[in-house]
Amino acid sequence: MLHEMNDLVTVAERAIGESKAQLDSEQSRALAAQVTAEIVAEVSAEQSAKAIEQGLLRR
Amino acid sequence: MSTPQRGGGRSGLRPPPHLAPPVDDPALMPLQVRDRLARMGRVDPGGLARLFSLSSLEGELPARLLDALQAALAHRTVAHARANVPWYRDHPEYARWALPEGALGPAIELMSGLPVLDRAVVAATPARFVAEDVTLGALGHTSGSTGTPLQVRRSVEEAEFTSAYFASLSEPLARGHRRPISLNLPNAYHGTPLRLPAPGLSLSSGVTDDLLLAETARALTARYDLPGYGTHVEYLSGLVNHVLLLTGHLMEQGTDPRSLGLRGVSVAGGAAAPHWRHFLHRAWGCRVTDRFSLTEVLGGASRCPGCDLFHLDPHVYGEVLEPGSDAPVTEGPGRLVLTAFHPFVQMQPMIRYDAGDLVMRSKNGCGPTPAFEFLGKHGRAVTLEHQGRRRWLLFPAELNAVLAELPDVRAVEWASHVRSVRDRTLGGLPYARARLDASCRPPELRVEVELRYGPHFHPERAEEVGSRVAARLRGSAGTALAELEAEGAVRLRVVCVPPGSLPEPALKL
Repeated sequence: MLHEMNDLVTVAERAIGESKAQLDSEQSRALAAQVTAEIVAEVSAEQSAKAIEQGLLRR
Repeated sequence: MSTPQRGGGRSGLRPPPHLAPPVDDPALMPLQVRDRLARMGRVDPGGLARLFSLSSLEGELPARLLDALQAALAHRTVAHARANVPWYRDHPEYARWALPEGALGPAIELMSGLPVLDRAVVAATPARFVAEDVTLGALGHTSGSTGTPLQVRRSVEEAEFTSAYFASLSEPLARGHRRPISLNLPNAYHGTPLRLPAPGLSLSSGVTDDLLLAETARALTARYDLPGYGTHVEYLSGLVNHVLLLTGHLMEQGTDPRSLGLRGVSVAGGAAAPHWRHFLHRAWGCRVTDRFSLTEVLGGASRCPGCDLFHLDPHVYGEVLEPGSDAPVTEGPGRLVLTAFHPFVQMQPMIRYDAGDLVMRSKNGCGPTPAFEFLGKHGRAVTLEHQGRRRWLLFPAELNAVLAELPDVRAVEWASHVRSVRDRTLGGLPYARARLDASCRPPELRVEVELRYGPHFHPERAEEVGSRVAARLRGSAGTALAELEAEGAVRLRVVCVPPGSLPEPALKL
C-alpha cells in the first residue's frame, strides 16, 4: 500500500510544482501550527486521564 | 438512488484505473488521485496527510485535488459501510450501490443520492451502526445536549490511523525547531481518552476544582528546561467555558495572560459568543481558534481568521440542507449534515449525519470547503408558519451573542464549587427563554431575559437591555422577524425578569 500511495503523492507533488510541494517551508510550519492549535482542542491524551485521576486522589 | 450502480456516469470514457498510464498533464492529476485512492487496498496515513497538505495550498489545482480526495474517500466510506455495517448493508439505497468500474463522480453526486441519517435513528439502534471488520478500542459519548446521549465506538484501527495521520500532518513543525509544549483541558466526560499526537509535548490538566485549577495555572506560568522543546507552554486548548474560567482566574490573581507568551488558544465544545472570543483574544494577545466539532465525527470546522466563518476540516464532508427536505442550501439557514470519512472513522460510520445543528451557509467564505456560521440547535430555533412557508424568527446563537455582551444578564455559575475563582459565570450560558405564543393575534415572540437584579429596581436600565436585545433580534441575518413585524404578522416582546425566574439553561445552545 505504501508504494502505491507514495506513487500518488509523487504524482500530486509533480503536478502542483516542486516549489509549492516543499511542505517543510515556513508556510507549512504555519499550517502545521494552525492544525496543532485546532486538533489539540479535541485531544484527550492518555496523560489527561492520569492527571485527572491524580487530581481526584489528591483532593 | 434510482439506478442500480450510481456514480459511474463516465465509466466508458476512461480505462480502468489500474491500467491508467502515468499522468504528465498536471490538470489530470486530481482525477488520477481520485480514482486510484478510491480503490487502494489500505490507505497509508502519512501519504494521505501529504495529499491533504498539498490540497491546502492556494490555487486551482490544489482545490481540485481536495475535491478529488473527498470524492475518493466518500466512495471508500460508502463501500466500507455497505460491506461491514448492518444498518447500511440492509438499507435499500446502499444495497443497490456498487463502486463504479471506471472514473468516479464527485462526492456531492454520490452523497446526494443517499439517505440523511437522523441522530435519533442512531441512538435508537446503535448496535446496527457498528462495523464488523474492526476491534473496539475506545468508547466516547455525547453529552446529551442534543437529546439522548449517544455512545460512540471507536476502533483500534481508526485510533492508529488518526494518530499516524495527525503525527504526519504536524511533523514539519518540529524540523529544525524546538517542539512546542501545549496544554490541554480535556473534556473529561467524553469517555475513553483518544490518543491524538501533539507535535511537541502535550500536557493535560483541568479547571473543574480548585486543585486542578491551581495546577493548570502553575503549568502555564512555569518555565521548562527540556532539550528539544520550548521553554514554556505555547498552545492552550480546551472547552470554551474552561478556557474562559482559567483566563478569568489568572486575571483575578493579577497575572496578565499576555505575559505568558502563548502563540495560540483553541476553544471547542460549545458556542463561543463573539464577546467571549474577543475577550480571549484581547486577554491572551494571540490567535484564538474557535472549533466546531462533534463527538460522532472525528473533526469539524475552524473559524477562519479571514472571513470569520467556520470552514470544515478537509477530511470531513459537509452539506447544508433545507430543514424538512433534502434540498441543498447554497446560501442561508439550513441543517448541517456531515459525513465522517473512512479511515478516520471506521467502527461507527456516520454518512450524511444530521446532529440537529442549524447553520447559516455563506457564499463568501474564503476557503474551498463550505463556510458557515453556527446558529444553534435546530430544535431551539423559533419559526412561524406564514402563508404556507416556514419563516425563521429567532436563532439561539444570535440571542446568546447579544446576551453575552450584557453584564446585566444572569448567567449559569457552572463552576460554582471552584472557590478560588471570584466570577464563576464566565462562559456560562445566559438565563433566557424564547417562545412563540400562537394564541395571540398576531402571534407573539416572547423573549424572557433574566437579570442579575430585579428589573423594577433599575427600570431604565432594564428597558435599555430589552431594547438592545430586541434590536439585535430584529436585525438578525436570515430571520424574517423585522419583515413580519412590519406586516403585522408577528409581534416581538422582550421581557426582563428578576433572578430565579427562569429554569437553568440547557448545557448548550
